[in-house]
Amino acid sequence: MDDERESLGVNDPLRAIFKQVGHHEAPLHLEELVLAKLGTPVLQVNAEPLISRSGWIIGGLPVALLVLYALRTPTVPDTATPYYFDLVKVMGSSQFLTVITSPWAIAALMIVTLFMLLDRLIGTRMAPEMVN
Amino acid sequence: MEDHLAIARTLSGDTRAFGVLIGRYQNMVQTVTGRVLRNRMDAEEVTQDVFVKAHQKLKEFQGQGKFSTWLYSIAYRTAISALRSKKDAGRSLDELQAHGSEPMEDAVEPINERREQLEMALGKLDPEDAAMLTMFYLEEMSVEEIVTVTQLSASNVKVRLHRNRKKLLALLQDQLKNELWTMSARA
Repeated sequence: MDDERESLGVNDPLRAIFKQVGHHEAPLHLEELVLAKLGTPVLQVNAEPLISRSGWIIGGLPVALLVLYALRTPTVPDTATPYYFDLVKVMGSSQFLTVITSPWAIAALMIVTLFMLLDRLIGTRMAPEMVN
Repeated sequence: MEDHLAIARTLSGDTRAFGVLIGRYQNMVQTVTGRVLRNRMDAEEVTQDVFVKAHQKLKEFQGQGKFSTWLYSIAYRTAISALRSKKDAGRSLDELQAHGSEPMEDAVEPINERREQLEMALGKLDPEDAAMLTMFYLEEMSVEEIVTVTQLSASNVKVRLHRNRKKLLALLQDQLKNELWTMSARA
């Protein structure tokens, strides 16, 4: 390696010029600028869905059951249907069932589900991008 | 704080320890980005990116070679990549080299006449060659280290160093005239 350096002129005047001129000056506050940019990875740790997998199971199961029940319940309550009355007993109030099976309640549930899906999507899609 | 200690602390989550490395190598990185890009604004931006990349890839640094050489590789490749992006964006490499013949307004701070002369002469060379000469003469890197940084073959590096050394000397001779030979005699 020394031979290579010698052959390329280790004592050459260019070395003296380069040394004399030295380095370019880095921008002021570079450290702060870089560390501010490095603040981004902290976000990537938090870029997880707001609702965890277990949250989905705990929250989603009753919702799914309610939606299933709502779909199976006739619009006009059929008092002759035995399972309807059994569930009313379980739920404790027929008024509750009327509310939960109303189009407003179903729409609200659908909106909540939509937002949960959106949260999941953003969480899973955004996190890898932030890492890279 | 030694490099290896700062690296270990950074890896253990102490971002401030990375600040020590930034402070130590910022001018070195700024020099290579500046010599390749020949525009201070672009070089400053790329310098920031270099340190961000280095932080993200720090786990990959095995500690076998010098940290400065590893960082220099990132700086060189990021600058070359930024230069190519510029080229793709419409500013051709030739155009940049042509601009290099006259120092761009914001290319370098006119700290002194000699710096201007050197930057002007380096501006007439290919940006990769200008960076290579900087590695060799300013950073005192060995051919082996330059090979690591540039990913070129050793023979290619040597040929380019020889060829561009001659070119640079010829360019500076016009500007510095006899001064070069006085310096040579002193060395």
